[in-house]
Amino acid sequence: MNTKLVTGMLGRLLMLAAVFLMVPLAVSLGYREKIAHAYLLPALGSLALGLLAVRFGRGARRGLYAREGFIITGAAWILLAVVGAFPFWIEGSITSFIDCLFESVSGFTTTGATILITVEALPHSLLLWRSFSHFVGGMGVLTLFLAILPAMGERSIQLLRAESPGPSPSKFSPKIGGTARFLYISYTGLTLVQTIILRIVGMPWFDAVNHAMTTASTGGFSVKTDSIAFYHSPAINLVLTLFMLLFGMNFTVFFLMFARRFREAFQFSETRFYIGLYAGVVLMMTLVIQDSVSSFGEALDLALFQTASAMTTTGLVAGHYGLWPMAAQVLLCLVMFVGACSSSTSGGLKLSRLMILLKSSARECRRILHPRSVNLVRMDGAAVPENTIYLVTIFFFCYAGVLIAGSVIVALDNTSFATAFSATLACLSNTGAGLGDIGPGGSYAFFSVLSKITLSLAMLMGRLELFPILVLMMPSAWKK
Amino acid sequence: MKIIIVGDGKVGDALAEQLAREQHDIVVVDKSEAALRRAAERMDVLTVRGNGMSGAVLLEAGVEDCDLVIAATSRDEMNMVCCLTAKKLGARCTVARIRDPEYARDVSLLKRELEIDMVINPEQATAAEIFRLLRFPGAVNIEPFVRGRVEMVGFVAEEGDAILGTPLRFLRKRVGADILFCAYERDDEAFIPNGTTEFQAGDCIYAIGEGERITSFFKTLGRDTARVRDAVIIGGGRIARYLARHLIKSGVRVKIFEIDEDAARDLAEMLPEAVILHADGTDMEVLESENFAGAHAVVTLTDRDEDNIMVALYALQRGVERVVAKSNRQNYEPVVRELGLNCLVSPKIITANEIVHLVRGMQNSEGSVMETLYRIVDGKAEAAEFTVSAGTPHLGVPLKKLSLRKNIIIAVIVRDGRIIIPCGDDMILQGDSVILLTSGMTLTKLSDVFAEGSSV
Repeated sequence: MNTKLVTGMLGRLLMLAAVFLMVPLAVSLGYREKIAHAYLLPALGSLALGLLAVRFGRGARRGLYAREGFIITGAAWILLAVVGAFPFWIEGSITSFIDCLFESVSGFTTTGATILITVEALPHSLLLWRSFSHFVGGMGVLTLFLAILPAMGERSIQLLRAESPGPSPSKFSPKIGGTARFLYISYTGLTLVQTIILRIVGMPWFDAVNHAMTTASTGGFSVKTDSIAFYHSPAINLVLTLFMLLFGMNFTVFFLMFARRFREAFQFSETRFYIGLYAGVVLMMTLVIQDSVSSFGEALDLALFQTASAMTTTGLVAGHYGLWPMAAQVLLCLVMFVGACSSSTSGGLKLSRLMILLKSSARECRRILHPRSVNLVRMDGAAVPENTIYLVTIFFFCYAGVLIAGSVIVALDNTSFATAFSATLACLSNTGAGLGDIGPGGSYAFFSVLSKITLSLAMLMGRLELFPILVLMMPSAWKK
Repeated sequence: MKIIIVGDGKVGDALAEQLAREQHDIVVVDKSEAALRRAAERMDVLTVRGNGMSGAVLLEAGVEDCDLVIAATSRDEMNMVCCLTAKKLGARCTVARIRDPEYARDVSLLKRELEIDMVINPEQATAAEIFRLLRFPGAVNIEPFVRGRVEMVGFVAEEGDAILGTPLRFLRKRVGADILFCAYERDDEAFIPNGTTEFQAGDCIYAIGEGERITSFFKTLGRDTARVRDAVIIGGGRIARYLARHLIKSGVRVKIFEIDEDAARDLAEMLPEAVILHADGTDMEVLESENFAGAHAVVTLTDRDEDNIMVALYALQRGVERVVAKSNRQNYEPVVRELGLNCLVSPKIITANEIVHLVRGMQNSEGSVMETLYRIVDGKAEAAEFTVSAGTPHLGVPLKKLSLRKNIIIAVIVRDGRIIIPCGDDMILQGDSVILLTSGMTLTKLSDVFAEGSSV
């Protein structure tokens, strides 16, 4: 491993983390909260550590290979989460450091699982820090690196690849910096638009900013304990639904639209599958829940919102789905498992992987019927390389494996099956909201330390698509 | 600039790497998924999978607003159609690799009718390079500037050479002021010399000046062995064919070893003046029987780099003075050089360099146009030729009053056909051609030469 290069990169990341902390610091000064030290101390600490690491990393050999890319990504996210935990700890509302870490991991991985029982107890700046960590984590911190630092070297695609969700990284401009900049500009732009629309439909400014960030990153932290149900506003529900769905789309679609290549944008089979699956699930959901809510209109509203929230793995809550029929809850779990489009900010398995798995299964059947036929798996008119199919299958296995192993560990707390399984699923898919004790209004506070660590790891694995974290656990990754 | 490279083979890959490093926006088009994946992992380029002849694929690659399309697939016809399609779809410039000698004769027709801006023939370019190397015995590398009027020659200093061990500022008096030592390579690093530099045995020194002056310098150095009269070429491919034509025209006797009978027949038909041997040129027995060691020059041009290097090393050991080997693999060079084989030519690098020259020329920034650019010492140093226009700063100021950046040397000024090796009192004027040497950086325009805040 190229230790100097990795250390240097991580050093720069720590310095960037210090810059991030300036955002809640400004808010805390604005609201006169007198907790500036909660942000200043970690910022100074991480700045100092970062400078040291950058110093150590001077004169590093060039050589950013897949191994370094994955190690940097895995380590960067863990470091970022640790730095992000300190403001919670210093401020003091959350007493145990493990809880602070859980909250911070949940923020950066855009999970939105909280250990807070009453969210409103936190000061404004800390609430904003939670949402802001979502925002940074949504598009990825290394992507931000690539966007703002010029010419990180030819091989920096390794970083984008390790961080960006989906089976293959989509690069749509010749320069990786250009791609990363486009991603961040469109991401930030859409977030601003959403903030303004939320304000127009009646949300206060502070709430609008936070919820826009939480939606854009498909995170799930809300500034209210009751989440979106607090507002009782169909208009707010509709706006949020729309934006959640938008952020669940592959960003390449936005790029194509921006480049006025509309035909190509609409031909994306993943997008069509996404919309189709969403419509189907909403239809079923509406029918299933219409008896448990007051009117068909409300059923449709809640089904639209809750399905979008689960499918894009946002995890905002607009209605008490814990009281809905079991079929509805299982449906939510299912869409949570598959997630939305690749190269979006959402988590889960990703629809393009699901499509490849479905089509490969169909191909296997065809192959049994016609053993000599040449069978291809097609996506968007082109054959999917066999290697991609292989990687998707392995990913699926690992994803399911981590889900089962995590559930077993969490079940040691002697919770109900629904709680243990849905907690692991909600963390691994970066949704946050689950069933049973962690359903609407619930919190992760009661879990044991072991479960909290397990779930934190699951969140990181889910956000980084397993391998950057799994690779860190391989002893050979650390060898020269 | 936005550049589309069609065909990710040896040349395409070398080009993409070079151009991406110079901060151009590169799109690579190829049919092979594996080649594209390899490219995308190593370089900051966008890849598009598909047939580069198809308009749809070219449009996807963004041909409408691209500055240059380079067709470097293995097939000439494909490259022609690709360039034609690209031009019709709005590409500003097109370059095609056309290697078949049959087409090579129609280059001007192709250029006119298909609107191809540049036709590059790797084998022909390589042959020309080898021919230049054979003309200067003792030279490792020869690069022509100002349409061949100025040449830069690299040679390895040997124990006992008169230029060793004397600081350069004294050396100049002895050697004469009409050639300039502009760069040297020691321990795999490139340096720009200054007045205190002392050359050591084993350094690879680059001297620049008029062709005749360099020849006479070589004479005083005692390197001027007899002109090449007999040349042996191992491997009768396209490069051999072009090279043999050059050599025969300049009165050299040529002997070509070719292992394939049909190919040998074709060669014999095409080159009646040459001796064509249908034999395995890597078989020492055969070589000896043909008085291999008595040849003045041996050029190895088979398809296998390893064979070329081995036979070349054998020739060196048998006392052949001029040995040139073809090797497309760059990483062999340092190893082989250690063994005394200095002349390795790589068709892919030669081709890529020629296209890079064109790209540099197109980057017409701040008025001073770069005409030619050569990479020497494995790309660690560059020699560039600029034409000076009115927009260049510091015109008419004596060089001693300017502060230049480190590791840059102004080697030659060409004014109205006169070649000036500049000293402190010379100045750059509008209309001059200037040749610069740099190490460790990339020049894109003439004003890069001047240090920040240079006095006027």
